[in-house]
Amino acid sequence: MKMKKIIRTILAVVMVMCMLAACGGNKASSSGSTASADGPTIGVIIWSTDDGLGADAKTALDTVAADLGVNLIYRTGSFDADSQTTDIENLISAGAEGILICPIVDASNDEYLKTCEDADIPMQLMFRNIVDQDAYDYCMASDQFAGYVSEDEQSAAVAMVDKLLEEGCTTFGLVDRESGNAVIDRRQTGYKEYLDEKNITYYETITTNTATATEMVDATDQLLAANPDIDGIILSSGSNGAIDAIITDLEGKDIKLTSFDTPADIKAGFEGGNLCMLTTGAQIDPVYAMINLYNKMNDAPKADTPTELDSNYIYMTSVEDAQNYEKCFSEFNTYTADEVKELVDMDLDAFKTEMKNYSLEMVSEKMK
Amino acid sequence: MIGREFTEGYYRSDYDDNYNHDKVMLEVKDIKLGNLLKGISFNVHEGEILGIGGLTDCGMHDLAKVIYGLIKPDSGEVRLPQKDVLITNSTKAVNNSMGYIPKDRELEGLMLAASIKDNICMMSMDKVKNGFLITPGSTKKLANEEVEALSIKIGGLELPVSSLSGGNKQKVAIAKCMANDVEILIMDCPTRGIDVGVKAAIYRLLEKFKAEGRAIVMVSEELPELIGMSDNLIIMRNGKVTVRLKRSADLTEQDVISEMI
Amino acid sequence: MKKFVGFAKRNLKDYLPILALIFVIVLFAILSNGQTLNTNNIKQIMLQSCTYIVAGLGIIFTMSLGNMDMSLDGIVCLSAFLGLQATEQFGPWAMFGMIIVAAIMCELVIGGINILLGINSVIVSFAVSFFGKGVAGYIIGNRSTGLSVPSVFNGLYSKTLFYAIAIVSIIVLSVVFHYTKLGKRTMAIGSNPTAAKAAGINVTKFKLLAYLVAGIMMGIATTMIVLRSGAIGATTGAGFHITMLLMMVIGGASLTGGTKEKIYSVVVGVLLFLCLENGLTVLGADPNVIGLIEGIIFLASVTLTFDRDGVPYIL
Repeated sequence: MKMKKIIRTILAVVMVMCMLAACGGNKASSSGSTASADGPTIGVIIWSTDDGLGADAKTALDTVAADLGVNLIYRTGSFDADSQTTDIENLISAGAEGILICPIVDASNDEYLKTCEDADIPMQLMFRNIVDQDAYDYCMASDQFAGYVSEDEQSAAVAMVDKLLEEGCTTFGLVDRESGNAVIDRRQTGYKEYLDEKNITYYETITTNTATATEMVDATDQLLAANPDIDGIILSSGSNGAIDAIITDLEGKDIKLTSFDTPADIKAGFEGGNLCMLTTGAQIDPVYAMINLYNKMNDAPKADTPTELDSNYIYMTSVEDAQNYEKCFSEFNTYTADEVKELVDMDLDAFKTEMKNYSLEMVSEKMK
Repeated sequence: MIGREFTEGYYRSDYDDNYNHDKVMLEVKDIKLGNLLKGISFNVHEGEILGIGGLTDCGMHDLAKVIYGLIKPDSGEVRLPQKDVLITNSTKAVNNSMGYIPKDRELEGLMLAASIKDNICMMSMDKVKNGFLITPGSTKKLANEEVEALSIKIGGLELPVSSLSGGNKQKVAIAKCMANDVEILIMDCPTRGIDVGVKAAIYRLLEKFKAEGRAIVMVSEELPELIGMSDNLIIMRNGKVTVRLKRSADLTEQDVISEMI
Repeated sequence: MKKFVGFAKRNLKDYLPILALIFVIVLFAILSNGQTLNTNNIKQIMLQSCTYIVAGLGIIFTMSLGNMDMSLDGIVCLSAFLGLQATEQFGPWAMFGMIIVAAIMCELVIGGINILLGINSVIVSFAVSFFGKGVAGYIIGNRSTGLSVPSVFNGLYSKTLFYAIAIVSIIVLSVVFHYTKLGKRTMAIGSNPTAAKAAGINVTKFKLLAYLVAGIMMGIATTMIVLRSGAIGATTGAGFHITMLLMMVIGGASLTGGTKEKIYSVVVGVLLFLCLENGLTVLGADPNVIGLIEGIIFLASVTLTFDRDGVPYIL
């Protein structure tokens, strides 16, 4: 019996050693390798690289990083301030010379920055701005803060409502998430304020942040059953297959749908007739963010103070848009290597103009 | 069976009335517990071995637990007159030098995965401590003393108790109580499932305790053992005491069985 | 020689975590060309380990009762939230008291419900986890402003303070766990609660004391987390219970509790886990691979430390 246990131990240790060796051997092929150590290294902290937006962001970042000769090391899966601080520390140990982060806890941005300052490296935010006043003041006054890039959630929300109004909707149903995700919160506040302003009737259902597609559909059905006069639905977050499920659910009903994020088959979604608008494409955000950071790391920042940049969403409102999107965005083709270098060299105003131009039309033009 | 001869000295060889009739160590008054116990009373004196016998379901096993404070009776009391203390829970019992060896020693009496040393010292932590601290040296010393006193065959103090034979496990259970210098020992089926050699050793131990002035309550389903070892014998049936017998060379199993059924 | 081999065989299980720790440190030092042995890197690891060690020192008490405590994320979130909320009502210094009181209350609730209603403590701890996260999350979500640590405490997040707290905790709790009645009786209850009761141990009293210790240490650990994070959100403490469990088991703590528990498992486990994560990050490993490796090691550790003899007595 003791012998068995010893054998088990040895097996376990051998297994672990093999895994570690294999892992070490993977250095060259993994995206976060330190093998080609000639270019600078950027540590990227993001919630996940497996879901829709996360995966797209990674594809975009990897392509642009390769163009710039930058090494990326990713850290994912951290959902509180303590873990993200640990991520920053570990990345610094791994040789990161700049940190690109999507922060989960808004008010801890100053803590994150302090950790970077201690190591004398710059920090850049992606997908977020800073809401907490103290953190904002601290970061904006710092030499190591490169800036933030975020989407204008408010305008996107307004655009979604307008589109539904265009389609003739009079009573709105909002399929919302519980609060806690700053981005989603801003979207939801955005369209609610706008709807209040215009005095439009709406009903709301709130689901959890980790709701599955089935739960989302159930919530939608209950909302419709309780308020049968709803003719327009807005979905604040379509991840985890929620949007696909709701599109299927609404088939045949005379209800219009707009949503953030994308279903697996976008074209089919629009062909179904219920879907009239999708808001997505935020994967360009980290690209601009990284370029801004790259400038800062090379002592050629785009501005003397931290930059506050607005990134555009991409809107799709028709089957053609969907086809265009799928053509342009299955891989990251928005900017070529040369164009990336141009973006690096641009001054702040030109950069902002370029960011303002970002849209589905602009990308499909380029690809012709 | 080890080929030893038991011509004499398996059970007690004496028929003397040799306990102290003046000193009552344990007073059990009118214990009632549901349908199990219907008014049990007896006294145990210094140096006395009181046997309690009957069929398995006569209530004697629960009685043992009640005396030790593990089960609360519906009415009646368990008292230690020498200390003027009522026993209401096991902590009180232990603090007043009582010890208990349960019928199911593995499930209820020992920590199987723990070391022999830890088992022996389990009850004696107050005795062994130095201020707030219990030093490893003191526990080792105590455990060694007990192992020697009871001649327990062990491979090492740190080995788990599960590695011992049934007989030695029982010795450890006894050692546990002895380590705390118990004055009143309650044993439930002390030699169940133990081989003859160790049984004899345990009987010798009981005699020794008796000589040291401890009071022993022995609940058992083995008649020969009860007849052979007890100074006084109580037989129970359906929760009541049917007969009280004194130690005598003429007492036979036949006399007793009729009272049990 | 024979004696040595016999000794090694018997105690291999006990010393495996320490050997693994040394192995991991050496392995990564080699693979990363010494990067992991960089002073800054070591300082990071030590700093990160402080909060986990402090929490683990408390949890080992309830673990030796046989209780797998799944409430830690809820406790951290709720205590941190209540602590910072208290600063708004009662001034900054109320934070410390509030956090510790909240953590103690949570742990005592688990212990209390387990004792009074006899519900398995693991399940109760899950309930507390949901409750803690739910309450904190709901109220935080409805607030318009974030919850930050008062700036008067900015200086408190320092390496020296954290190291000091960790080291003092290790010393004090090692003594309490291995050399006092509290520790020994807790382990006895974990080994066999019936036998413990029969041996005169007041099971209720010592269970509650164990939970009290766990609560105090969790309170201290939460305070450290809050100081380190600077602010809290609905996700504070997320996954803390899983990470903690992983660390303790990898360090050799047994899920079945009992007298086999050793307090050094906490320190070894925490360091082993952090060195592993750190080393793999420095080497640039894919985050998912890191998770996979941690899972395998966890499984191996549980297999080795799980005591079949102790199983019937899990509370």
